[in-house]
Amino acid sequence: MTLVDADLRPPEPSRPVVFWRRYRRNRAALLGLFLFAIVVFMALTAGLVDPDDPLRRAGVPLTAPFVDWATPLGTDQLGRDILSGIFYGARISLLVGVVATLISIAIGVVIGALAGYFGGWVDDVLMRITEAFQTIPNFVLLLALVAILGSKIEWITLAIGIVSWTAPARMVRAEFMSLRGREFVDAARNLGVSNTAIIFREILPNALPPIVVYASVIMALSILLESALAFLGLGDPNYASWGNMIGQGRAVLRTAWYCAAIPGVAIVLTVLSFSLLGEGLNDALNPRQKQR
Amino acid sequence: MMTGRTGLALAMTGAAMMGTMSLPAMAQDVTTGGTAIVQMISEQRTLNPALRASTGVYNISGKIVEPLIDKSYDGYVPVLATEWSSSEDGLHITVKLREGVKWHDGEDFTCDDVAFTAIEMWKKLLNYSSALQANLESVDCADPHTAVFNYSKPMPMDLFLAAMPDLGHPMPKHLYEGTDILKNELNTAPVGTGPFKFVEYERGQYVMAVKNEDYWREGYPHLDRIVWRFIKDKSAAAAALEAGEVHESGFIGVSMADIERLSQDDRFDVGTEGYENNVAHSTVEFNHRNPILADVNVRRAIYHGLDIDYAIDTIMRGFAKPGRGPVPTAGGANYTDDVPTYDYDPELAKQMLDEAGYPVGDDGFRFKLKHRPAPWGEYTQLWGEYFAQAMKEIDIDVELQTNDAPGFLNGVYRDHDFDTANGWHQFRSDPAVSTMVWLRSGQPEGTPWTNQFGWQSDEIDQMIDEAASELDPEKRAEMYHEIQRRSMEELPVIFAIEHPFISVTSKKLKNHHNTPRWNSSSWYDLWLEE
Amino acid sequence: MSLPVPPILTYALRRLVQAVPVIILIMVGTFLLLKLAPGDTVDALVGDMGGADAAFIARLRAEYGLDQPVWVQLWRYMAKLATFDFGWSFVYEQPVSRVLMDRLGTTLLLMATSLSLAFTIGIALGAFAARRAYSLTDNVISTLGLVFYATPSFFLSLMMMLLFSVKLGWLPVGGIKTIAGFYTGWDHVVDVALHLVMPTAALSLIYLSFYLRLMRASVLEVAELDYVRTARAKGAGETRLMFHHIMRNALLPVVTLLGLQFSTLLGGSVVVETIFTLPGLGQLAYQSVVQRDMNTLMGIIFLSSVIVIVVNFLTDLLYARLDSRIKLT
Repeated sequence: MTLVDADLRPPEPSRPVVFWRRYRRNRAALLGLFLFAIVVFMALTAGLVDPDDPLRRAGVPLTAPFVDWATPLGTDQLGRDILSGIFYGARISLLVGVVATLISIAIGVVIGALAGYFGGWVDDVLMRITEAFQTIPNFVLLLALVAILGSKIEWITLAIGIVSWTAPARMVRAEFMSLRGREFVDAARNLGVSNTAIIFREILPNALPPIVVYASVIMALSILLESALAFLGLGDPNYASWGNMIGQGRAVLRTAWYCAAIPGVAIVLTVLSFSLLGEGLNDALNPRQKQR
Repeated sequence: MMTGRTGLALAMTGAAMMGTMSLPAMAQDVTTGGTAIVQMISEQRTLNPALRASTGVYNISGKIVEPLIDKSYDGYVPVLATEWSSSEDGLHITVKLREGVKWHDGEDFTCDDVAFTAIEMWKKLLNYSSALQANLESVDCADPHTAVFNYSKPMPMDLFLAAMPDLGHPMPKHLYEGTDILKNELNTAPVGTGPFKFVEYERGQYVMAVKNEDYWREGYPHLDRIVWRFIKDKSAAAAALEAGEVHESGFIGVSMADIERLSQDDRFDVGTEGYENNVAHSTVEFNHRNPILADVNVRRAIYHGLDIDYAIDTIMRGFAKPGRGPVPTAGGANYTDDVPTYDYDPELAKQMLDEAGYPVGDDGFRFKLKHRPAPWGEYTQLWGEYFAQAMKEIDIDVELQTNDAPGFLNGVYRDHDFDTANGWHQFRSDPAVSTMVWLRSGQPEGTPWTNQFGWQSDEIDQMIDEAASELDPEKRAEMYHEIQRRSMEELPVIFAIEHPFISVTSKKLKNHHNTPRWNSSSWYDLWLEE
Repeated sequence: MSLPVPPILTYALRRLVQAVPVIILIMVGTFLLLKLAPGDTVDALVGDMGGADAAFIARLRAEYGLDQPVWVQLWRYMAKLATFDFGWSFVYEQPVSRVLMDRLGTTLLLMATSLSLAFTIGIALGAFAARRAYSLTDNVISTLGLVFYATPSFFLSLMMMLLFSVKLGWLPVGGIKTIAGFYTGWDHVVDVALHLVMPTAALSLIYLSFYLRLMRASVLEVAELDYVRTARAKGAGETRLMFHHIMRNALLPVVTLLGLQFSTLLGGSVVVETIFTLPGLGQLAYQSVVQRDMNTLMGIIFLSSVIVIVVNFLTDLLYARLDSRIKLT
């Protein structure tokens, strides 16, 4: 047990260094970081790997992997290069993951902060709305939203953000409720700082760590939701996305397994990397739980 | 005077028709009993074929409710009708009805049933049929087994016959008269005269029917029971076939890749037999309100940019052929292949687009099209994506917009919010009741699968109207050949690929796919090997 | 007040009063939201039929009341709902209540088995991993849980189907029972159970990792609390310590999750039910969206809202039992 009481600790190195020290103690989290780096690398280099449109006819349809070096991971039913689909798909997955997460966190923070800070009827109304959203099965709501908005990647991303804000809202609310009575908030209020400034400058930074950890969960979930939509044929066909590739690849699953299996593995590893990343962040940001 | 034929049906042994079948089954070889299990892709809302004309309905109801006339590989065969004839002027069609036929509840089948159904359902309520029977004035019952259809304008006999197998199912008058026909509970629990009696319909799971012991064809049916299982997922359907849980999957109920794979498997018969009456066109539809697409040379260039043979090989796995205009080969005498064609030639396409005044712009594209692929499953989606691929090869940018079925139908047929679209369109025996609605202008807005493309030609409209009421079959065929030629020149719609449906059938089933509309027929002679 | 009302009843009543505005909000919101979608059920019907003429379409629309303004439709619907009349499903040509009841059993069975499996295995593995925190065993268990979570359910389902149904022939491909099998008694139970093995596995493997991770973290946290240290100092054995001191408190956050997870699970069952052709509410919900079957979809949402609220109420009770410090108010 090496738990050291915070007050007795010797002068600390800078925060990023501490963060990194805590983070790297978890080997699984390091694996997560490594996988995440690969995904980001793929997204960044997609244009270099294949400067052309990844949806073009690049070879004979349903070429197996490692047969033709022009298409090293093979081609799908329409002769599209699976390798470049995987690279470009990393972009879409990251885009969907990051943007949907930002949207849901933004909605969640605003609603949770208002409810938690003001309490009373504001809290009542906002919590009823949150409960309503939480009660509707989120995937059914997502299907309805996509039916309304159509299957454009922008709308899909927005819809995913809209169905995943309730958990961050509740977390933020809980944090705000416990923080709003603290001395530093009272002090700010006495100094005449506006409510907006108190919410966003004083309380929010202190409430953020658990939300940052939870963001990795939403990010993982967003990618899974996008792929489930694509599986049901509701993905955006204008982009190479892993979900689309699996959705179409499953029709040839029995004869050309690689069409679905390769993007499938890509999704599993990416979602895994987000989850592991989340564990590492949790260890680094909430050191209370971290003991050996 | 055209005369009908009698008694042909019983003489037909369907197995002899089938190329893929081994030997015609001898009567003593037939195993009686057993349960045939059939995959259905979609849930059916109603099982009354006199209210909903759709192959999905017939696939079930065809075993329970019989039509007046059916179609075999030798032509039209009597079922509940025994003979039929038309007056010289085409205004009166007389149909003799089979005697001694009973409804499943024991009542006699008579002309009253036919007259009631024709006026109350076929003319008023049945989709497609209400247009066909628009000029039907009355049905007289000369005696309990003679029905006379009276028309205010001539009804061509071959159109009447072509329509009857699908649009000519009588329903029991004594169970429908005086009720709210659309809300009648029998619509989902049909009472008919067929070889199988309805038992139960478990929503989301299955429909079951059992042998009709009092069937009018002596010694039939062979099966004890038929079960239709609803399996929407195509991979699951293929797995069910392989696991032996399902004996037949029709209408391309499994993915094209699995169809190809199962065709190599000696446990299954895979083929397009039995769908000669149900072929469809994979189409590319243009919105002629877009000035670019209103130019016939652009449409022709687009056709030249499409590698139809490649699409047939990769998307349809070879189970298809290039389309030749609005009448498919299944149209029989009305079909001709003497039409202009457009070979795959991207260089020519580019040149034509240059000449039409659409050179490649700074962004690398000539213009941009908003394309809506129909959500009718795997291959319409692939077709849409192939279309985008092919257009990019001739420097046309394509943005695909996918929606679910109501969204798609609204976007194309009501809001006209598209430049190009693709889907498939089923041919229904006769051009007058099917593909002509894609060319005839003046269809009310919002009606799916009609000409909502903004294409209008007085000449073609007139030709369509004349052909529909032409009584002489030869002249009528000649008129349709001309319409086909004109539409291949003008390309209001590209009828790119003609494909029949494909079935996968367990070899344990015998006498299967032995008529040109087999999935819709009564299966009285179907049997199951132990 | 003269009659002593048991606190649990007042609590239930309070929760009920709170739930009503939420349900009304959900119903009105969903109704209006769905009206924004392009096309209506008549379009879907006609699409399924392969087309119809204009008069036919107009007649259907008038009959279903879809030619009325949205507010009139909403008012009519809510007025009916107030009397617990869910209306008529134009897709299934049956009262919605019957459509729902036909499917409810399957979904409840699937959800209950999946959730209890995920819950029990999850907390068992979580507690186990926590006792060996940061060992190889712990790493393997935790990572495996995450891998299952990261695997899209449809992918897992298809792979299982391929292996167990097609290759090995051990399990049926789909459906809830052998059709035309006519099993009764125990044979029927066994038959249904066999059909549910794969769907249940697919669903529970995903949710397992939630409970596993939460339980592991929770046990780690509780294990350091003073009273556990005291107990350990007094020489309580590890097993006794686990079951008597740690588990009870560590379960608190996990139970909360159980309640929250219920509505997510119904969403998750959409894909699984579609693949395994299970006639449940998830698949029905998806079909209802695609076919714009408003009444059925609204019915499902209402039903699932009620279920979620009841489950949350029950988990609150469970919570209170586990933690004597919490009073029902």
